[in-house]
Amino acid sequence: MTENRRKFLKKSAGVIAGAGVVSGFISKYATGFADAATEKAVTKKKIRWGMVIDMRKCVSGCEKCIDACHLTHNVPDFDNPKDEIKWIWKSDYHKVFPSKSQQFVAAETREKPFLTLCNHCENPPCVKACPTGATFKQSDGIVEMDFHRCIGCRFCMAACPYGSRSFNWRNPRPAIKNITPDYPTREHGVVEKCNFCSERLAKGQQPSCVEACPEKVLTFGNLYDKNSEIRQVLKDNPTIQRKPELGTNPSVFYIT
Amino acid sequence: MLEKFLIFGGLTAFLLAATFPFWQNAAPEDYPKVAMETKGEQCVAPASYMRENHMQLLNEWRDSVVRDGDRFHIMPDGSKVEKSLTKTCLGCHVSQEKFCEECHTYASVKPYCWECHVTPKSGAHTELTGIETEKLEEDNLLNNLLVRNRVFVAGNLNFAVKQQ
Ligand code: SF4
Ligand code: SF4
Repeated sequence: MTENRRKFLKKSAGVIAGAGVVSGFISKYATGFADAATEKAVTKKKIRWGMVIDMRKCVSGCEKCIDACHLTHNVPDFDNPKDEIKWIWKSDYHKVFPSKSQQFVAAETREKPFLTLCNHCENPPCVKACPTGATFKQSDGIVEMDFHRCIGCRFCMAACPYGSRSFNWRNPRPAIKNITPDYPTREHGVVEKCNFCSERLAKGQQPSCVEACPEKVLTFGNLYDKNSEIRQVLKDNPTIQRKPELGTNPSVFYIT
Repeated sequence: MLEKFLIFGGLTAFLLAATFPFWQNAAPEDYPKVAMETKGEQCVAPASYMRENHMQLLNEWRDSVVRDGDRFHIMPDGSKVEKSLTKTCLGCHVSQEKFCEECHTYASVKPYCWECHVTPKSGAHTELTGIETEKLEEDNLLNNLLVRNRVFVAGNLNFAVKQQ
């Protein structure tokens, strides 16, 4: 019994020592990788894309930004509100800001169609709701969709407090007048929404809507960059976000 | 005697009929005629690799573009192209019907790439829209190849090493 125990202890000591040596090697390599990873993270610029919409400058009948976006991204036009697909659109003031936090708003503001799009929330409920990971948040703050992965369950649509998402009830292809080959279309049964033009940002371009607006209503930029134009605009003007009480922290700000 | 003849004759006929698909395919004549004309000089990876593994490469491209925002592929000569089915693959291979479909129909596979990705009209492309020829810094080349093109480097290690 005692001898057995002694043997056992000896053996385990050997095993433990061996494991120690091996883990030493492993951790050496592991830290090597970890160092490289941190280095990469440090050299990577911190970005959170955001937008300011200056509604004072927005012209009521104008839809140039909407047309540009929907052309760029092959957004179908079904001509039927039940099937409507929207990336950026105009809605009533009281629907965009339903919280009643602002009373006695000037009639010209109240009666103006307000521009809305996905807020690319800092804390996006749609991402939490998506069971497949098709909706996810990129490191630059953009809430992006992987259309390949979307199963059309529409949980995200229920989770989004802003109605920013649309479902393809029908095959969208026939409802697209001019197909832009550079961007894919979607399939029947897939959800879609604004992607802050991440494909254009990758090429150093501004989002389509920002570029298309003749009145310079939209300011786009990096919210984490203190010297950016967007931060200057945010500093110089009082702005509001949609439904701030929900804690989603929208990256889209309004000057009203 | 007659019985023997009947039995063996029947057996032979049955064997021939049962193995008919194999006989028929022993010397197939109707291989798909894939259109190989291209507008560019080089493919994104060696042709032998592409023939067997293009679907893996495309999956890799898809995930890296959509998930990591990693939109460029390093060509064998070190230049960069966009990871794009419509722009790069079909910017070079002239026809989706004759290049992709022909073989897929023969092999009876039905990928659904083109439900969403837009097929350029045959012959409509006059230039290589997706192709950029920006040179990468020499020392980054192997690293980039290893990191970005994990799939085909694994299959063609010699190829990657040669590049360096
Ligand atoms: S509809 Fe698509 S994106 Fe939305 S939650 Fe379901 S799988 Fe995710
Ligand atoms: S606005 Fe809606 S779709 Fe956009 S990130 Fe927020 S919750 Fe998601």
